[in-house]
Amino acid sequence: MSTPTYKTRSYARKKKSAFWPMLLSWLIPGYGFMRNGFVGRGIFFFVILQVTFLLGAWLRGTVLVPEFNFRSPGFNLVNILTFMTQMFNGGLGLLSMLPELTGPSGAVLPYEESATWADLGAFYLLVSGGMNYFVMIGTWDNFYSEDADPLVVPAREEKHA
Amino acid sequence: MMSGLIFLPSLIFLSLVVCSVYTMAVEVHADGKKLVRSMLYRFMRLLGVLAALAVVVFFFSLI
Repeated sequence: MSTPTYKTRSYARKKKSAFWPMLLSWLIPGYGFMRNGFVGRGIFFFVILQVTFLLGAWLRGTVLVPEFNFRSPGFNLVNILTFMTQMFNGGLGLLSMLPELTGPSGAVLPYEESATWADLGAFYLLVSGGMNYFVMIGTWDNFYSEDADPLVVPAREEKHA
Repeated sequence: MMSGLIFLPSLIFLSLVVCSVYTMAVEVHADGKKLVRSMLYRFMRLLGVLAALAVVVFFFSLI
Protein backbone atom coordinates (compact mmCIF):
# COMPACT_ATOMS: atom_id res chain seq x y z
CA MET A 1 0.00 0.00 0.00
CA SER A 2 1.50 3.26 -1.08
CA THR A 3 1.65 6.25 1.22
CA PRO A 4 -0.71 9.01 0.07
CA THR A 5 1.01 12.16 -1.06
CA TYR A 6 0.67 15.31 1.01
CA LYS A 7 -1.48 16.93 -1.64
CA THR A 8 -3.94 14.01 -1.73
CA ARG A 9 -4.24 14.04 2.06
CA SER A 10 -4.74 17.78 2.01
CA TYR A 11 -7.54 17.36 -0.52
CA ALA A 12 -9.26 14.69 1.61
CA ARG A 13 -9.04 16.91 4.70
CA LYS A 14 -10.63 19.80 2.84
CA LYS A 15 -13.47 17.71 1.46
CA LYS A 16 -14.43 16.57 4.95
CA SER A 17 -15.08 20.00 6.39
CA ALA A 18 -16.95 22.10 3.87
CA PHE A 19 -19.94 23.23 5.96
CA TRP A 20 -18.26 25.66 8.38
CA PRO A 21 -15.91 27.21 5.82
CA MET A 22 -18.85 27.81 3.46
CA LEU A 23 -21.01 29.25 6.26
CA LEU A 24 -18.17 31.54 7.34
CA SER A 25 -17.56 32.48 3.70
CA TRP A 26 -21.16 33.65 3.61
CA LEU A 27 -20.76 35.70 6.79
CA ILE A 28 -17.22 36.94 6.04
CA PRO A 29 -16.52 37.43 2.32
CA GLY A 30 -13.19 35.88 1.30
CA TYR A 31 -12.89 33.62 4.37
CA GLY A 32 -12.83 30.44 2.24
CA PHE A 33 -9.91 31.73 0.16
CA MET A 34 -8.02 32.88 3.27
CA ARG A 35 -8.54 29.48 4.95
CA ASN A 36 -7.18 27.67 1.92
CA GLY A 37 -4.02 29.71 1.76
CA PHE A 38 -5.00 32.45 -0.70
CA VAL A 39 -4.73 35.07 2.05
CA GLY A 40 -4.08 38.10 -0.16
CA ARG A 41 -6.97 37.25 -2.44
CA GLY A 42 -9.27 36.62 0.54
CA ILE A 43 -8.36 39.97 2.10
CA PHE A 44 -8.99 41.67 -1.26
CA PHE A 45 -12.48 40.10 -1.47
CA PHE A 46 -13.23 41.06 2.13
CA VAL A 47 -12.15 44.69 1.75
CA ILE A 48 -13.69 45.38 -1.66
CA LEU A 49 -17.05 43.72 -0.88
CA GLN A 50 -17.42 45.27 2.58
CA VAL A 51 -16.43 48.72 1.28
CA THR A 52 -19.03 48.37 -1.49
CA PHE A 53 -21.69 47.33 1.04
CA LEU A 54 -20.79 50.15 3.45
CA LEU A 55 -20.84 52.73 0.63
CA GLY A 56 -24.37 51.51 -0.14
CA ALA A 57 -25.31 51.82 3.53
CA TRP A 58 -23.81 55.35 3.57
CA LEU A 59 -26.15 56.22 0.66
CA ARG A 60 -28.97 54.95 2.96
CA GLY A 61 -29.49 51.68 1.14
CA THR A 62 -30.84 48.88 3.33
CA VAL A 63 -31.81 45.23 3.00
CA LEU A 64 -35.61 45.31 3.00
CA VAL A 65 -37.47 42.12 3.89
CA PRO A 66 -39.93 41.49 1.02
CA GLU A 67 -43.50 40.21 1.15
CA PHE A 68 -43.32 36.43 0.67
CA ASN A 69 -47.08 35.78 0.66
CA PHE A 70 -48.00 35.62 -3.04
CA ARG A 71 -51.66 36.44 -2.23
CA SER A 72 -50.65 39.80 -0.74
CA PRO A 73 -50.92 42.93 -2.95
CA GLY A 74 -47.36 43.81 -1.85
CA PHE A 75 -45.95 40.59 -3.34
CA ASN A 76 -43.22 41.35 -5.88
CA LEU A 77 -40.86 38.75 -7.33
CA VAL A 78 -38.16 41.33 -8.13
CA ASN A 79 -38.07 42.40 -4.47
CA ILE A 80 -37.62 38.78 -3.40
CA LEU A 81 -34.76 38.22 -5.87
CA THR A 82 -33.14 41.50 -4.78
CA PHE A 83 -33.39 40.44 -1.13
CA MET A 84 -31.87 37.02 -1.84
CA THR A 85 -28.98 38.53 -3.80
CA GLN A 86 -28.27 41.20 -1.17
CA MET A 87 -28.25 38.54 1.55
CA PHE A 88 -25.36 36.66 -0.08
CA ASN A 89 -23.18 39.10 1.88
CA GLY A 90 -24.37 37.48 5.10
CA GLY A 91 -22.65 39.40 7.91
CA LEU A 92 -23.43 42.97 6.87
CA GLY A 93 -26.72 41.84 5.28
CA LEU A 94 -27.99 40.62 8.65
CA LEU A 95 -26.80 43.85 10.31
CA SER A 96 -28.57 45.94 7.67
CA MET A 97 -31.78 43.92 8.08
CA LEU A 98 -31.96 44.49 11.85
CA PRO A 99 -34.22 47.58 11.74
CA GLU A 100 -36.69 45.63 9.61
CA LEU A 101 -36.93 43.01 12.33
CA THR A 102 -36.54 45.06 15.52
CA GLY A 103 -37.71 48.53 14.48
CA PRO A 104 -35.62 51.66 13.79
CA SER A 105 -34.08 51.52 17.27
CA GLY A 106 -32.17 48.39 16.23
CA ALA A 107 -30.39 50.17 13.37
CA VAL A 108 -26.60 49.73 13.41
CA LEU A 109 -26.09 50.98 9.86
CA PRO A 110 -27.81 54.16 8.55
CA TYR A 111 -31.51 53.51 7.98
CA GLU A 112 -33.73 55.85 5.95
CA GLU A 113 -35.87 54.17 3.30
CA SER A 114 -37.10 57.43 1.78
CA ALA A 115 -33.65 59.05 1.38
CA THR A 116 -32.79 60.43 -2.08
CA TRP A 117 -30.05 57.91 -2.84
CA ALA A 118 -31.59 54.92 -1.01
CA ASP A 119 -32.29 53.03 -4.25
CA LEU A 120 -28.75 53.56 -5.53
CA GLY A 121 -27.45 52.49 -2.11
CA ALA A 122 -29.57 49.33 -2.28
CA PHE A 123 -27.96 48.63 -5.67
CA TYR A 124 -24.49 48.81 -4.05
CA LEU A 125 -25.73 46.24 -1.52
CA LEU A 126 -27.01 44.11 -4.40
CA VAL A 127 -23.63 44.17 -6.16
CA SER A 128 -21.78 43.37 -2.94
CA GLY A 129 -24.06 40.39 -2.21
CA GLY A 130 -24.05 39.18 -5.81
CA MET A 131 -20.28 39.24 -6.01
CA ASN A 132 -19.94 37.34 -2.72
CA TYR A 133 -22.08 34.67 -4.39
CA PHE A 134 -19.34 34.31 -7.03
CA VAL A 135 -16.65 34.26 -4.34
CA MET A 136 -18.54 31.47 -2.53
CA ILE A 137 -18.98 29.52 -5.78
CA GLY A 138 -15.24 29.99 -6.43
CA THR A 139 -14.48 28.69 -2.93
CA TRP A 140 -16.65 25.62 -3.46
CA ASP A 141 -15.43 24.88 -6.98
CA ASN A 142 -11.73 25.31 -6.24
CA PHE A 143 -11.43 23.77 -2.78
CA TYR A 144 -14.40 21.58 -1.80
CA SER A 145 -16.34 20.16 -4.76
CA GLU A 146 -15.94 16.65 -6.19
CA ASP A 147 -14.21 18.19 -9.21
CA ALA A 148 -11.89 20.41 -7.16
CA ASP A 149 -8.36 20.32 -8.51
CA PRO A 150 -6.24 18.55 -5.87
CA LEU A 151 -3.28 20.56 -7.08
CA VAL A 152 -4.87 23.77 -5.82
CA VAL A 153 -2.75 23.71 -2.71
CA PRO A 154 -1.83 26.92 -0.96
CA ALA A 155 1.70 28.12 -1.39
CA ARG A 156 2.46 27.85 2.34
CA GLU A 157 1.48 24.14 2.30
CA GLU A 158 3.43 23.44 -0.88
CA LYS A 159 6.61 24.48 0.90
CA HIS A 160 6.25 21.47 3.22
CA ALA A 161 5.19 18.97 0.50
CA MET B 1 -26.23 67.74 -12.65
CA MET B 2 -25.83 66.28 -9.18
CA SER B 3 -27.37 62.97 -10.27
CA GLY B 4 -24.75 62.53 -12.95
CA LEU B 5 -21.98 63.20 -10.46
CA ILE B 6 -23.25 60.34 -8.30
CA PHE B 7 -24.38 57.88 -10.97
CA LEU B 8 -21.40 57.97 -13.33
CA PRO B 9 -18.69 57.28 -10.70
CA SER B 10 -21.03 54.64 -9.24
CA LEU B 11 -21.31 52.95 -12.63
CA ILE B 12 -17.53 52.85 -13.07
CA PHE B 13 -16.82 51.80 -9.47
CA LEU B 14 -19.42 48.99 -9.47
CA SER B 15 -18.26 47.76 -12.89
CA LEU B 16 -14.69 47.59 -11.58
CA VAL B 17 -15.85 45.71 -8.46
CA VAL B 18 -17.81 43.20 -10.55
CA CYS B 19 -14.96 42.56 -13.01
CA SER B 20 -12.13 42.38 -10.47
CA VAL B 21 -13.96 40.14 -7.96
CA TYR B 22 -15.35 37.82 -10.65
CA THR B 23 -11.96 37.44 -12.36
CA MET B 24 -10.10 36.76 -9.10
CA ALA B 25 -12.75 34.29 -7.88
CA VAL B 26 -12.82 32.29 -11.09
CA GLU B 27 -9.20 32.35 -12.27
CA VAL B 28 -7.40 30.93 -9.26
CA HIS B 29 -4.38 29.70 -11.21
CA ALA B 30 -3.75 32.93 -13.13
CA ASP B 31 -0.76 35.11 -12.28
CA GLY B 32 -1.02 38.85 -11.63
CA LYS B 33 -0.40 39.96 -15.19
CA LYS B 34 -3.01 37.63 -16.67
CA LEU B 35 -5.50 38.60 -13.94
CA VAL B 36 -5.18 42.30 -14.74
CA ARG B 37 -5.53 41.62 -18.48
CA SER B 38 -8.66 39.47 -17.97
CA MET B 39 -10.12 42.03 -15.59
CA LEU B 40 -9.61 44.93 -17.99
CA TYR B 41 -11.00 42.87 -20.88
CA ARG B 42 -14.16 42.09 -18.89
CA PHE B 43 -14.40 45.73 -17.75
CA MET B 44 -14.25 47.09 -21.30
CA ARG B 45 -16.74 44.48 -22.51
CA LEU B 46 -19.15 45.33 -19.69
CA LEU B 47 -18.87 49.06 -20.41
CA GLY B 48 -19.54 48.30 -24.10
CA VAL B 49 -22.72 46.39 -23.23
CA LEU B 50 -23.85 49.19 -20.89
CA ALA B 51 -23.17 51.80 -23.57
CA ALA B 52 -25.19 49.78 -26.11
CA LEU B 53 -28.04 49.55 -23.58
CA ALA B 54 -27.89 53.32 -23.04
CA VAL B 55 -28.22 53.87 -26.80
CA VAL B 56 -31.20 51.49 -26.98
CA VAL B 57 -32.88 53.22 -24.03
CA PHE B 58 -32.25 56.61 -25.67
CA PHE B 59 -34.01 55.54 -28.88
CA PHE B 60 -36.89 54.01 -26.91
CA SER B 61 -37.28 57.31 -25.09
CA LEU B 62 -37.93 59.01 -28.44
CA ILE B 63 -40.98 56.86 -29.16
